[in-house]
Amino acid sequence: MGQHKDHLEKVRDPRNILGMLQLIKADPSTFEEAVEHREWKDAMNEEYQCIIKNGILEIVPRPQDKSVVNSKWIYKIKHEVDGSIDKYKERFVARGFSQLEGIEYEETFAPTTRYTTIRSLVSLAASMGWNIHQMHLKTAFLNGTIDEEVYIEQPLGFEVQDRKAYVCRLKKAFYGLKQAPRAWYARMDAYLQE
Amino acid sequence: MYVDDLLLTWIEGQIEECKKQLATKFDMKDLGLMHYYLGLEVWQGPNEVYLGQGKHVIEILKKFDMMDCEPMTTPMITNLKRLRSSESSPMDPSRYRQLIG
Repeated sequence: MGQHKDHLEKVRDPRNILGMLQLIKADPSTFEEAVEHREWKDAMNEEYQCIIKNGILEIVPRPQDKSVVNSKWIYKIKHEVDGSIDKYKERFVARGFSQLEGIEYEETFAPTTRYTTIRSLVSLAASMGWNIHQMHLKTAFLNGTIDEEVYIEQPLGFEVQDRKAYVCRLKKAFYGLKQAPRAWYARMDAYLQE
Repeated sequence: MYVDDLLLTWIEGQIEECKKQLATKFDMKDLGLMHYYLGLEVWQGPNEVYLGQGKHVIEILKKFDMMDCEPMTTPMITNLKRLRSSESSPMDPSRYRQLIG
């Protein structure tokens, strides 16, 4: 607690403006910028391992008759309330806006909740004397399955040795894909119905 | 369910069973009793539930520079006089609609 207060005082001291500028680091916008930093390199490594471990994509030769969606690393520093760095969060995403409708994706709509639904759930629980519990699904979109054949470029900096020209065939719905929210909803809906 | 946030309600023992089952199928984080969901604040006590949107209200007040406004029991002018159109310039209509929801 004392440490926290000291920290805040330091931040608020106008003489410490240089320190402040260092404290609030900008998020890198390119891979070239991020790869210079240990923290981002570690974060990217971890993400890549996770993608491979979960069988989300498969390294395959570049298809001749299919288009390949661009991919990109994005970076965002998550801050604590006092401005200190919480974690280095990066995500490897598909640039879904280059996907072709009808070939690489079909429908993209997905249902969401309305406030009236939540309110009726709360009133149901209240009248029955039940408690309402809350859960969060981690990396929800990666649970969705896709029917279409979708290829994305290999992550920059993580191209497989001797297979630099290869691409990734997606086995699961992926961040940035047009159909990701819908695929996730379909999966969850099927599970809950069963 | 809202994308990746899920609400469950049932008899106490059943909830735990339900959570366990979900956790075997998906990578889940148990947030315990519902307390904050899509901007809705919830307090659950024995035989009572309170709802609030305090954070949401503060955000709207900040957005429209109204943090210093006075709270009123009736959010309406009681002795309304008609303003002449020349007395004040009309507000940006889209901003007005954002403000009143």
